[in-house]
Amino acid sequence: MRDALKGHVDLLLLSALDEKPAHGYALVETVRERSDGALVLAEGTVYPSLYRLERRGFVASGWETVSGRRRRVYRLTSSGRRKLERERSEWHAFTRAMKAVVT
Amino acid sequence: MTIDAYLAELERSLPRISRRRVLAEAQEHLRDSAATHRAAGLASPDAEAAAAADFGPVEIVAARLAAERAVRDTRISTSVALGAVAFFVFPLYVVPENSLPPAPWVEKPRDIFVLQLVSVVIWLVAGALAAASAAVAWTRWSHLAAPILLTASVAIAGACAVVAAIGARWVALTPATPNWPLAAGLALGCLVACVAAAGWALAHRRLLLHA
Repeated sequence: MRDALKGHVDLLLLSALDEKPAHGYALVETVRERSDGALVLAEGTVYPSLYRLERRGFVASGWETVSGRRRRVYRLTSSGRRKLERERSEWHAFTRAMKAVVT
Repeated sequence: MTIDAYLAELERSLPRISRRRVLAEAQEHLRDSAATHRAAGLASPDAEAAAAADFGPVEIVAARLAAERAVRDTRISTSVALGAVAFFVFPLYVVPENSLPPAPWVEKPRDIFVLQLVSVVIWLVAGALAAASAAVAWTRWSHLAAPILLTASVAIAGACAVVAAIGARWVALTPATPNWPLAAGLALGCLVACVAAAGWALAHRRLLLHA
């Protein structure tokens, strides 16, 4: 399943951030929990994806103290929210098309 | 593998630039992950080993992190190089009147004039290359910025070397004045600029590897 995630990591991270700002580990856990353990992100490679999204202005981050520990918390920017909406629409169109052919 | 051992290996594998944030985030992540494994019933050493395994092989994680950070580092480096060319090399070096002792001649000697012309041409080349690398760094072709920037740094060093020759000639033609310390400072500055450009090129060779 991990190989199947290639190319979809950005969408998963943006979707996980849509609910609320979160740090890297919380994002991995959110994806795992929402998918009932079916989608497990390669943890160490989540950060390069987050840095790329930040560089492109889709997420912003800052150090915050959470439960007494200093963590880098990521949040969606308005441009990230627009990207998420676009990618969601494309994903729904893709899955509808695949379903029509495969089933 | 313990969390500390994993982080030490990751630190060794990452470029020196921007290592701090990456390591701080990795440390927090690994601690959280180990805590989850402990809560699931693993003993502490096993929980740390499981957290390190979940994070992934150091060489793969480090390569992807370094490649991503290299883009950001290239943007910073190109902006610094452009600023150095515009605000440091041009006023202090290419225009010797700004930093050398007052000229004793009415008409500038021809050899100094020619050297100054050469330094201006090299500076223009360095400036154009630095501007090109800074512009390219913000496009999808950012991997081209590093080779252009390396060429610019060589041109910057070249401009400084030519101006060092101008400085030496200028001072030789100028009667002893209290400005000697200034001239010595300028010569030292040229040397430092050349060493800095060479050092920068050496330190950023990784950017080329990620191109």
